Amino acid sequence: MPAWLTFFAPYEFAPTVALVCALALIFFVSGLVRLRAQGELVGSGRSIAWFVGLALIYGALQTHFDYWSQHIFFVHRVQHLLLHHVAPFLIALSLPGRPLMAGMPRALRERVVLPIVRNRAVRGVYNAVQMPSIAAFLFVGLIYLWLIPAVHFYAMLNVPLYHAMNWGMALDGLLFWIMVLDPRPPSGERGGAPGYVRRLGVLAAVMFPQIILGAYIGLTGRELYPVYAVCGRIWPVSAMTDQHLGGFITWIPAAMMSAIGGVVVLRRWMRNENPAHEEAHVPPQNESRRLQTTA
Amino acid sequence: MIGVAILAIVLVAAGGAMVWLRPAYQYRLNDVTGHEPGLKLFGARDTQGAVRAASDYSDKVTVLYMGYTHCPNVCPLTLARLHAAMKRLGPETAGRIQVLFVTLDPGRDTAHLLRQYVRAFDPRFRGLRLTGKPLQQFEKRYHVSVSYGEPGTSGDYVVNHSGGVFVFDRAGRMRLIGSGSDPLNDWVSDLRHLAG
Repeated sequence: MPAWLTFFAPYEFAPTVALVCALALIFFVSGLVRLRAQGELVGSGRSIAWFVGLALIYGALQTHFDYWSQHIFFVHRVQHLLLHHVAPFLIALSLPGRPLMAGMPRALRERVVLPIVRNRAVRGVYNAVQMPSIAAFLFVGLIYLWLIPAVHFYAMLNVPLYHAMNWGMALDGLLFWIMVLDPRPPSGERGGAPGYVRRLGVLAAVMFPQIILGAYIGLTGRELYPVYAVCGRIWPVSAMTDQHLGGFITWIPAAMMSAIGGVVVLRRWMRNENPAHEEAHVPPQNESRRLQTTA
Repeated sequence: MIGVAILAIVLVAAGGAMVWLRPAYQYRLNDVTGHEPGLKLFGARDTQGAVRAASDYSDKVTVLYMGYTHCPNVCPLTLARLHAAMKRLGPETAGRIQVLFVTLDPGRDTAHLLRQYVRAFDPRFRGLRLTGKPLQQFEKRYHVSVSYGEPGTSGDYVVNHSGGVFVFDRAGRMRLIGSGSDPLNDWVSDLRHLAG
């Protein structure tokens, strides 16, 4: 095998990650085909967002990028930027609910997924964690939690804790961006989409704590994460340079995602406020736009 | 009001539990009990050529360090610190501790060279060699990264590696992670507690 190909091989094969990604890929592609047969088209932009988002999650966890992440702090910060911000943002933007449901086997959908989705307790917990204030608290809280130096030390050494951290970041990122990018018009009902002003407020609220944390890590003169020296850095980069780069990644691109999310929310707001404007640009036979509001 | 009262009770209870559960001795090095895998040597050979297993050291606290004999700074400093700790602990306590130095550069570190090297620091230290896949498995088990620099004109090259020193108790469980830059007092105190 050529040396560059080994990068794409998992450093530590995780069957759960491989299985989840494979099933998600199969269900989505199958859903696209089935919906197309029914005359429902899913736009290419949505499909690309889905595939790129899924590929980023898989790549961050199941290539040698994960090995780099375990041994260089700033690469670890890039890994969490992908798992918590970029990939879940793209997946939420693709509105994958309807294609995934259409693509999975009927028995799985009707006997497993739908009963879980309709379960009152599950819905109660989901609605609670999707309340904007709680979602924002969880989003920022998880970033802070795993960057507490003592917690970070053990998270990077303890394999189950390491997996819990990465899964938790991806899952929380998905929940957060699904709430923020909800295509439904705002509704005051329980479980309904939050108002646009609240969503923009949430994006601003999560931005500033990330800036403060990133700036602290990026500018402090104290080594905060000695675990990378204990395990050894794979590149000849000094501890402080590594930490400063990691801080800037936590600070700048992570906060930028709030601005990008804000643009999408404003776009959704304008479309829902002015549906006539939307209809004027969509041919009647094109169902893909309709799907965005129903998925 | 009830919510505040419940929160206050929970916080007081949590604080009380933390004080109550606090161990009598607080390790000064990083206490990793339950976080890292136990001692396993993957068929490493000592400098006499004998295969060594973790069970060979089950009657002792094992201090494991990985490096290479051509290391310009970190390895000598770390081994010197461990020697100083052993000296401060005295022969009786030090006799219950075994320092193992595993070479990450088996190509240059012959058994003879390794033996001379570790004994120059302390005659009680032992050198171990692993090659090929067992060495990779060993590095992976302990999350140790190793990379090799380009050879210079003299053929010498740098090995970038972990600075961690792993301490296992008599049951082979990893208990502590330290480094050569940790204060000598911390090493002496923690090793005395574990080997006492």
